[in-house]
Amino acid sequence: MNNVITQNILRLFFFVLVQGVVLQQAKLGGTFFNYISLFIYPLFLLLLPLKISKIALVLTGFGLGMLVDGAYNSPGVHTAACLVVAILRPLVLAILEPREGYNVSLGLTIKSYGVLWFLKYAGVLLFIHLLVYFVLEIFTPVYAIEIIGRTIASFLFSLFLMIMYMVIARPSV
Amino acid sequence: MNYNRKQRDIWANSANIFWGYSSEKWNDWTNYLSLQDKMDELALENAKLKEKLINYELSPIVEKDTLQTLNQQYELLSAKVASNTTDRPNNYLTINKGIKDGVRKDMGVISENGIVGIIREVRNDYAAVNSLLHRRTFISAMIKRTGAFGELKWVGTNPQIVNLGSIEKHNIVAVGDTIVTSGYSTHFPPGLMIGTIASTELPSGNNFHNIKVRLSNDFGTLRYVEIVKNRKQTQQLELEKEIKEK
Repeated sequence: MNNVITQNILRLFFFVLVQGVVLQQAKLGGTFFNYISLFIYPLFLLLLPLKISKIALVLTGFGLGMLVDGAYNSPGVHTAACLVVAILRPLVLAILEPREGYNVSLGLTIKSYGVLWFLKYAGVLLFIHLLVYFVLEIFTPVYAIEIIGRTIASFLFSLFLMIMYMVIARPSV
Repeated sequence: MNYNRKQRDIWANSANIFWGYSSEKWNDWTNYLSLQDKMDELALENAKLKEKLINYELSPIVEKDTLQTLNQQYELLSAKVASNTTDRPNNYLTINKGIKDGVRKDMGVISENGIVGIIREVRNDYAAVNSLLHRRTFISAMIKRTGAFGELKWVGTNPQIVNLGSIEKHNIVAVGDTIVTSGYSTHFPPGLMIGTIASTELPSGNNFHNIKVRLSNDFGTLRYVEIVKNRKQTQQLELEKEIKEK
């Protein structure tokens, strides 16, 4: 119990700091092709314990979103995207339930349920998160191509970054 | 976003203290990696400035008195970029000089390759600069060759191209023309490099050219900038305001 909470608090610090200081200024594709934004912090919401209550999940999502908004100076945009993920996470987990059911003592990681499961789980929620984020950031149908282009480009690279984190850090809880 | 201005200021202030500091510390480390390039740039700029200085001192045309008044109108303050973005709909930079260094709202910011933006908000230690890549930044610019002046606006997608508006159709414009600051706004002295014309078209029935300017400054690699203090800025702004109200 204690291990899970401290593990998650450390993860929160790590993701928010890396997101706000390092990834905010990362310019993949150079100055000209600026469609790629990297996001690693939604992984925090994805890795929260399976048996967390829905209210705690939503409140955590709100807190996480506000912290990242502080770094990006975009009040509300990240918060909204994180809240959507927090609300939809139980639903996605229910849909993606593996045949043997979930094991409450295991974390939601590649180690527990396999790469394919994790790709589906993270992929769906990350795509929804990025779509909400870019729609709210750009906020006009005039730039619809930008919204779609940025969502897809950021999705590919952010998902890759998340898989890298899972493979390197190998969290078990 | 329209909400209570005081709340927005409180939010911006408290969030910026921590993140401004963290970004600056991170940049200190990454700056270390580009020291050699920076040294080369500085050596080149040094040479150019010395050349200008020699020419001024030797020139018989410019009187010593006028030279002194000209020099005293604009003051440059050097600052380091703490954080920067180029891929948002509206981009801004944070620099590490603030109220305690004499920085105020509406001062212009330049770097050695061209103009950067205008100071939007100031705190004690940091200032936020509305970069040229911000849809609310309008700069008064001039075609160097002819002197025709217009307004620069960023439309929001390509970080290398801005639009130059208000150049009437009777002016002759050519691809490759240099665009510089006109000096008609109080933010920048005249003659500062902005960019070159990348493309221009005049659809029939239009009164103005559609000019696209390629910026000389690469906003992605900004590390050091200079803040332009115009000693005569408040005077000129007050005078213009009085005239408009009459």
